[in-house]
Amino acid sequence: MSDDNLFSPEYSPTSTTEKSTTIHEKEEGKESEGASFDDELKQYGISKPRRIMIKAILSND
Amino acid sequence: MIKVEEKKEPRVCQGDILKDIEFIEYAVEKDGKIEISKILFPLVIVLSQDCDLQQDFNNRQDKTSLNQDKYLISVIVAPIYNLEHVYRGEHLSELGLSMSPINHNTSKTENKFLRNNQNPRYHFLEFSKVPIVDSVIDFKHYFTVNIRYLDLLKQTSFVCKVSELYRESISQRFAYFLSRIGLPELK
Repeated sequence: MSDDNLFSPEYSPTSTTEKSTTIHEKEEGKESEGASFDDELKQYGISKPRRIMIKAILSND
Repeated sequence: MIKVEEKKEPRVCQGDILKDIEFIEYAVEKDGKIEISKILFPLVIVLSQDCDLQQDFNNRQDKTSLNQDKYLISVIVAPIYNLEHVYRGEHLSELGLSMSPINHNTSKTENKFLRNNQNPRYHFLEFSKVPIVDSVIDFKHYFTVNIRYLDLLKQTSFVCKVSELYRESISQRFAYFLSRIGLPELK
């Protein structure tokens, strides 16, 4: 893949785990705060960028 | 080795290294359903000019100001990747992307170019005072973040700030990368 296309045009939003919920729910798949700091190794920069999908249904309230 | 400061300023500064910054790929609403895709970057560095950031901060603080002329809409940042991941071309593997590997042998030209900041696309960072692994800024992957979002997030996401002169060096190299001209090979 050309490195000029950071985001694949073939990427499908449905390819990740999804769960419909109300708009008041928080996104899923996000780790606790400080996700980039590895407590065991006591270092930043251990982890890689990752994608988070949020799917929600607007409530009619 | 790069010099950093651990003191957190009240405003967003050029050279700030922040953790867990989100980039919104898209947000779509249709028929009452919302879908948002975002990328969470473990580490980013602020590249916007510090004078612009200072003016934005002053303008927002000044309640007597007649206008919002100095407001910024967004801040330029670039991701900081783990050097070992970059060597293997795997730093974006969680996004399903494979990047060109770079020879990890420090005696090889490709590796020397990277570490000596002779590759226009990258800026090598080796930290001493803060616990950050050897890293690389990828200028090609720059993006922008809403200034107010970043201002709020800085309170909990600030890691350190690259010191003056070092941050100017990074900024200058970023400006060169953006303005580079690739000449076609004439046959």
